[in-house]
Amino acid sequence: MSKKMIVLKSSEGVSFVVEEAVARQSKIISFLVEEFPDRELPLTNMTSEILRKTIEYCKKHVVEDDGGGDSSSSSSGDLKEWDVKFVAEIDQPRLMDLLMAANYLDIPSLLDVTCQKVADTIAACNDEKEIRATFNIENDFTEEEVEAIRMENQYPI
Amino acid sequence: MPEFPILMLPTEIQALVVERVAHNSFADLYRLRVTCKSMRALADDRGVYASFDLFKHPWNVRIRNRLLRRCFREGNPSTLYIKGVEYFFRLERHEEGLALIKRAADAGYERALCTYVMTMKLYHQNEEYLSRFTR
Repeated sequence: MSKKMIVLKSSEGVSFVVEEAVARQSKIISFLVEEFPDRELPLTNMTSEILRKTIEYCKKHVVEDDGGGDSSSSSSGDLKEWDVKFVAEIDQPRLMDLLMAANYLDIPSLLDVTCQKVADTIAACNDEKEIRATFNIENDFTEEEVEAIRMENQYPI
Repeated sequence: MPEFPILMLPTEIQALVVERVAHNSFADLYRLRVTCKSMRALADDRGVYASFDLFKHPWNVRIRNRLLRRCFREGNPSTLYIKGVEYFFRLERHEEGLALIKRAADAGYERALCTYVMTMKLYHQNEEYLSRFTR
């Protein structure tokens, strides 16, 4: 049985042919496939690199319909491990793009793992200065305000 | 390390990240809270209060009543659980206590589910929930 394929096009105009089940993990693509069947779907705000990464994630997470019985392509433990590795390999600027892609394409599980990775990156920072530097945040508090917040926090930072 | 301009993300995504941070640890949340005004606003957002786990609060820092009240108001599962246990086992207010524990369990808080199941079995000889456990 041949699987139905759909074509996604990146901002550079590169076409990616993917199985429909893989692409349908994106709620947006799922909707678009129904509205415009047999059409190439242009994703003008996604680079090929990010689109490739997103497809890689979706391929791993696709639930096969025709495998019978235990239908997921891998067990949930393996999948979690794979997710951890997947986000660990991504550097920060690309993590941001991938997060935006997950948000734009509406892929809840990918949004979940990317947000968690950002939270873990914050956890890896030693103090607020490091958080500011890592995330390009400008300190808009005065010294007194910082002191006041520290008092509010009542936590030895 | 390359920069990640977090403030460029849509606000709802920033809020998701802050909820994750809150869930990870209080220390992280407090650190994030002093970075800038918009992060402080997000850290004080309702969703954050609904998502922390009070059992991760550092044991040597007193949990303030204001924090507890706010968490309770936002339906924070760990807070519902703590209050439920206190009502049930300490104040002997069984009905209210159990209802709170159940609410926490229904919100997916595992610790509360275990307590609920055992309490139903011990106090009401109700094994309906216990039988759902498959070890």
